[in-house]
Amino acid sequence: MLEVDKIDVSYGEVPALRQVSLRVEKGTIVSIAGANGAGKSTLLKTIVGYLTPRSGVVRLNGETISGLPAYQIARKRIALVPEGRGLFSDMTVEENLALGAYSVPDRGVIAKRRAWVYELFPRLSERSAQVSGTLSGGEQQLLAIGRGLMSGPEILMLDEPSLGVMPSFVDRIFEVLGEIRKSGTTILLVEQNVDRSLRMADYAYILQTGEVVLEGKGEALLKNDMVRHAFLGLA
Amino acid sequence: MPELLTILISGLLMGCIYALLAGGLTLIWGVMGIVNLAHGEALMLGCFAALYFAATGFVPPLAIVVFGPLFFLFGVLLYVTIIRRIVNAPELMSLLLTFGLSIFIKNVAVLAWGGELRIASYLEGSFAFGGIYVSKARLVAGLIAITISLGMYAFLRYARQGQAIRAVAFNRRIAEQCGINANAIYMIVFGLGTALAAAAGILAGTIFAFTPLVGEQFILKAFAITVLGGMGNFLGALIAALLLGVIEQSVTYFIDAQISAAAAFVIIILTLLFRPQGILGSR
Ligand SMILES: Nc1ncnc2c1ncn2[C@@H]1O[C@H](COP(=O)(O)OP(=O)(O)O)[C@@H](O)[C@H]1O
Ligand SMILES: [Mg+2]
Repeated sequence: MLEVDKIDVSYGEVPALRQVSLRVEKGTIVSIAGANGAGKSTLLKTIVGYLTPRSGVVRLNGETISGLPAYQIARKRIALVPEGRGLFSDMTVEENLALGAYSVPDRGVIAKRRAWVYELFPRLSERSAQVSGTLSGGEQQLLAIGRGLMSGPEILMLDEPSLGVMPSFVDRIFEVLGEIRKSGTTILLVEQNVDRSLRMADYAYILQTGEVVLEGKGEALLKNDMVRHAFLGLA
Repeated sequence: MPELLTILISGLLMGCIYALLAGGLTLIWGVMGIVNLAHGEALMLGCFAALYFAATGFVPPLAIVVFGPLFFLFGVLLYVTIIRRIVNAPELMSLLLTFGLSIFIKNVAVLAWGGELRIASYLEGSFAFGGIYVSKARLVAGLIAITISLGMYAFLRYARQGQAIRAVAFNRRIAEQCGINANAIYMIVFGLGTALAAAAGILAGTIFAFTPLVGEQFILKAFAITVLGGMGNFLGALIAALLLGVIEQSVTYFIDAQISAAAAFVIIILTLLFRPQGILGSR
């Protein structure tokens, strides 16, 4: 279980998150929604250790992880599929996947996971020797998710995976998230596609200018007036 | 025709040694973003290691086996004590620091060993076939050098650690997200770069006479190669090094040995003018 406990995060003197708390229970999908600049990416960056909270802590299964170097947090099987994908774009599909499994010592396990990722994304398997920077936007997103899965994460966090991706790929991405969850992986999802992500989520948080302003079951939030007005464009 | 082949082979063999030196420089630049002005001094220390090895009765090129790991550790030690502090600092800081380091090592070497010319020669004469002459010592040195360079290239390309090094070079943050300890990679890379320069020095020391100031001539060539090959591009450096070797040798033969030293300068200027990203660079 991932627990964010009243964290304050700022860039220099400019605060980006204020007293943000959230819980991600094992095996669930938790969604974070919020307008541009609300602090969603900042929250994910803090969880993976790029940023250190000024106050408050982040815990994984009861153990404090905030303050640890990013590579050690990654080795605790928290994977981030970053905004903009963050691929090693001068390396091949295969190499990107291998790097995702960098901290996995067992070659057999790595091979099995690779086979699973290729099964989820047959397109990647066809392009395994291709330099990843030459893939289409959608394919790159699939690869970024595949790389995240290679570490065998307990929690997979995705920052706007449907951004800049063709609609047909977006369907596939949401389908895959369902399959990943079925495999027992916990998912923390940041999405601009609020309607879909809330529909899929077990629980959701709404961030506004660095603060959690609303939380609840996904379906319930979909019916909330403020959400309908601000994100779904419904009166 | 045999003359031309003699020049070509001799130039390529020299280029192999340059490749070893420049490979280390471009690796450190590409991964850590540090212009290591003390790189030539690692080569110089390698020359003296060859000399020491020759004095104890061993064949000098074998010094690589013994001193290679020691120079790797020396690089690691430099990283841990000083270089670590300038990895993410402005470039001026790394230039100042490695410049200071270069001066310090040179002068300690002058104090310790004096300024006279020496050479760790052990193998005289040339192979001759069909009018082509190849110096034996140079042939051995060149072949060892290219073997190490290709081995290094294969390591970077195919080994797990090599992939991790390229990952950190590409983007430290994303690499860390994959569980790679970037600081440990920097340490390894500085160790490897130092060992490569020292290996180049061990081999060069069996062919050329040197003093504690020998690093000054070689670092200029290494910079020319790094620029021509594309900053941070290991394979580019390898190709550029062979080119420089052949160009220098040709200039020496057809024009003048003194002028051949200027080849590196000319290459730097022409590359920056016409192809600033280098032969294999893409940006
Ligand atoms: N590197 C940065 N330096 C300074 N301010 C930043 C930086 N990154 C984000 N911010 C600011 O922090 C706030 C939250 O940004 P972000 O977490 O990226 O929002 P979101 O992902 O919800 O769009 C914004 O006001 C943004 O301008
Ligand atoms: Mg964002």
